[in-house]
Amino acid sequence: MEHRLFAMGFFERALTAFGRRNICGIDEAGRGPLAGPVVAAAVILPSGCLFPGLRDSKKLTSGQREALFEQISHEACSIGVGIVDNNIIDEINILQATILAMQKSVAQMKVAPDYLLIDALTLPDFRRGQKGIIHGDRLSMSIAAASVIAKVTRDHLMCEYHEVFPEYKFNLHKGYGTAVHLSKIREWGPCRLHRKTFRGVIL
Amino acid sequence: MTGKEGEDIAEQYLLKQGYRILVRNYRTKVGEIDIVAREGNALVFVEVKARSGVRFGLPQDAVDLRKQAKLSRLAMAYLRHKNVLPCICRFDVVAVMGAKGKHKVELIRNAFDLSESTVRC
Repeated sequence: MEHRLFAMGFFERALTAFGRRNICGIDEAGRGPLAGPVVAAAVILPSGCLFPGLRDSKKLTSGQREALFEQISHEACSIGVGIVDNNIIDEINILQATILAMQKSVAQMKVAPDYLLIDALTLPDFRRGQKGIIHGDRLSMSIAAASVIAKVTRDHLMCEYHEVFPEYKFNLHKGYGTAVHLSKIREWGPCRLHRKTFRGVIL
Repeated sequence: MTGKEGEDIAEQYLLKQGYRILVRNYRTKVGEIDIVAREGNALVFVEVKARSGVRFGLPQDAVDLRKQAKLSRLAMAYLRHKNVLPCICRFDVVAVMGAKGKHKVELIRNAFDLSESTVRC
């Protein structure tokens, strides 16, 4: 497991070896749900920074994610978050919305990144260097960190939306298409947070 | 001049310059790196360009973008395989020009940067 953790710093170390300084991991949360925004996060970690708890961000419990969120926020050189709401997702489609959220997250950073490591995507018009890595959140520490920031930020948002629309239980399913969520939509109809893209499917 | 002769000449030249040769012809599925060497603290990936003719063109044109991308990928594979990080890395080009015996050698340190979008697992 030690080895696996060390391996998660490979891309960052290799890019540093070739003189890149601010290597930025980017990931997104909320591509799949029926409601709410897509949230992207960009994270630059200090060189050599490894979080032992952060091996596979998909396998973390929400408590572990919250703890890591605090740790990453504390130690990262810079963090950016980009949020694109459901109306824009309907307008430009989810892939374009994800890319837009990622671009927003990069634009927010206080430290300008000179290389992007992105989970499974590349961004148009970023010329300093970038690479999309399939399963990036398992292979790169920066992407894994970004994944946690994006997911926790989005979860918090959905809990806030729960205060506004308590009938849908967004605090429980965060907008994903669970049995509870579907039954609530059948009961109440969609609200202004629901993506139209899905309305045809569920109604 | 064959590729191998060019590489032999380049190797001798690098040794004279104080490089330590680590690997000749590092091969993977994607292709090969002619020479991997150390100069001081730096790990250097060396591409050898041998030409007998006069029409060589500018040294910086000797390795085109596609070749740079390929070498970048190979360098990443080497780093992953040999587990030598952290270290400082760069790409050098050795140009060997002219017929064997009357050849000229030119070394271009840091000839190009790690190419964009080449990081592979």
